[in-house]
Amino acid sequence: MLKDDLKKVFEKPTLIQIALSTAAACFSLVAFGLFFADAVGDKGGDGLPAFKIAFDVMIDGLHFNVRAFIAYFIPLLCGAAVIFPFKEKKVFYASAFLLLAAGIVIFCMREIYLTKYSEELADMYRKAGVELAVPAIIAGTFSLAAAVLCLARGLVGVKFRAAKDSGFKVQTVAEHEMSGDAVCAEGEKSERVSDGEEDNGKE
Amino acid sequence: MEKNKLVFVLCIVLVAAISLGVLVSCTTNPANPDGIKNYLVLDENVQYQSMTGFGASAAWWAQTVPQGSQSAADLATSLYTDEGIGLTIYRYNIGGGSWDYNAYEDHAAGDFVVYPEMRNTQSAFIAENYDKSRSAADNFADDANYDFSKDANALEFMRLCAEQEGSTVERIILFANSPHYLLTTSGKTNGDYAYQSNLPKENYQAYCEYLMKYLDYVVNGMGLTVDSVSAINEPQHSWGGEDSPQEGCHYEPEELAAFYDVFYGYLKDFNEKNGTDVKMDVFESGNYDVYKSKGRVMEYVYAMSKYDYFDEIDTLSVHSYGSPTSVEARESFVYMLDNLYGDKFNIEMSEICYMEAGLDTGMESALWLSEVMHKDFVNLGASAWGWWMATSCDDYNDGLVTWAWKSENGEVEPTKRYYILGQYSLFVDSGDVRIEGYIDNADKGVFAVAFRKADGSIIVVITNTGSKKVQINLPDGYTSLKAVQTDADSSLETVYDGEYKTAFSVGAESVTTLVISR
Repeated sequence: MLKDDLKKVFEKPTLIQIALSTAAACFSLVAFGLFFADAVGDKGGDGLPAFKIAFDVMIDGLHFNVRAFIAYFIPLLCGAAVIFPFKEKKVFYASAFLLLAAGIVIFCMREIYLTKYSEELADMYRKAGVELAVPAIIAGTFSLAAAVLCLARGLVGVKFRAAKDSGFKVQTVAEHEMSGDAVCAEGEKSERVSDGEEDNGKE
Repeated sequence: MEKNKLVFVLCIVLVAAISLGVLVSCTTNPANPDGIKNYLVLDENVQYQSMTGFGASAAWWAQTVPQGSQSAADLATSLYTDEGIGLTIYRYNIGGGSWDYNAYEDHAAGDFVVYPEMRNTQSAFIAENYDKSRSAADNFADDANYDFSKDANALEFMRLCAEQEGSTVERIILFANSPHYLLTTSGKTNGDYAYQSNLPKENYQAYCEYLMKYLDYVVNGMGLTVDSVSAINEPQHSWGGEDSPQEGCHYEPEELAAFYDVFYGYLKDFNEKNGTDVKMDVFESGNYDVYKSKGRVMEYVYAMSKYDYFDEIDTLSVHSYGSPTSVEARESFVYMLDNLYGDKFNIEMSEICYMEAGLDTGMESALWLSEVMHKDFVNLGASAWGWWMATSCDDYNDGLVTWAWKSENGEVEPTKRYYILGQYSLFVDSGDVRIEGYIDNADKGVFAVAFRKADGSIIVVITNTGSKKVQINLPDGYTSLKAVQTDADSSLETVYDGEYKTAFSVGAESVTTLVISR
């Protein structure tokens, strides 16, 4: 049964690729959007948005916190990257790695925020109740989820190639239509793939 | 097929109805089980802070009030008697002496609207007597170097307010915005540049001597009772460079804490010597923003916690600038204080003004004021509340009343801010306790705060910022009701006084004080 289901999936390789790419992009872009929501806060309700941690106006001028900036900027880049029709699955693996790193850094945002203080003051703020804010937890989770999706997106291509190598038949658009299945939106690309030009990394 | 669709739709409707029911039952307030619109919830068993007064600052303008003038009498009556708004806290400004060198004459440029000469302050210290062969502390400890007649207008106006018939003054706070200019690094009452720490450590004692001379004069020379001395004002602000059109002194947290350590010793000695209980007012924080990098309020409190005197401090004074209408900023500050120091601190909100140029004598800034007061009481837990300058003379909204400074018989013209402050200050006395009181299921812009008096009566101040009249539904169990209202057309006007009723309408854009008795 499972084999049959997988078979159906691999019969429409571009559909799942599109789904994975779209989901990864959405998660990534939402994670970036949360750059403008609180990254740290407390149970009193106040907080500080991530962009204010990245661009912190202190008494001696503007301080740029590169870690806070990159942690949220990576999902923006990766979100854009996975939407583009790259053929190379390395792009997806690289995105997965970067999103994983970004997610971890976002989860460390409280400590990144506290780096501007001495260890003594940072400890005071920890005891005072400064914690990772909910939007940052969501951003971190979404970044990690996007990483998983990117990884899956890359692996689907590999599995597809393996399936194809093992003699699995991939339908062209014409064949789809002939068989009465839903028309594959990316039929032309499927056809190209079926001709063995490249793995199905292109959408 | 159609039947299946119908069943499906019915199932969806059923699930939605059940979900809605669960949601509604979860959100129904047990104090208002019927979900009555604009219902006043009162619970006298839930008590919060005890109130300690309402006030305003006598900085800058008080030194221009001619002694014995009609203006002096009118101002004193309107501010510090129950014929006026019955303020109880008088804040006398210990000047840094900028009048001596006319520091703020030419600061009318830029975005600031200032009054030439009006932000300079008189100092009782006679600068010409300063002897460079002696230490600063010796100079400032020498009685011969003081002439309090230099600030006679301000001192005598304070005496008038405190000693006039029907005076409501309960607490006198002496506060300074800057040390005397002879004690600062810049030689001025603000820094040469932004965030310059302007009081060098070697002058801590001299500054304490300066403050003590004022305290001694007011207590022993004038015979007035002083509640506290506030030596530092908004220490986290820059107070230097071009954007510094008034006296001010920046302190780093460690500097502030170290200064207070010296000052506390002086106050302790004074109290022992004079049998007084003058407290050290700390620390007039410019805000309560725990996350703004320039806020730093928690850093100052933490720095003080390293000293022994910290154990003796039970009150923190803060200003509501920065995030004046933010609930979250207030609650995070309280939350952090609680996490670090438990319920050690009573909070007093000692300064705010409506910082917009122009002169709004109407309800816009008045409703804003009521919102700030409401949040300071409810979300910050403020036990005392202070406006910045009691009077202004020009097109800036930092006064409660307008009055032509220096004039003998100048008309005192109250703004609506004055009356709105009166909606609280005339009814809530020191010792009254804030109780649980709020409008449940409220229309947008309708909110209330409640206090219980010693005689058991309840004071409820209801603000309606909306543009429509709103009926407030009151709880049962009381016998009499009095309502006093301020809106665009009325000022502290009694709109109802009689038998208790459970429905009462408050006007659009109004503040109404209810006095409810059993």
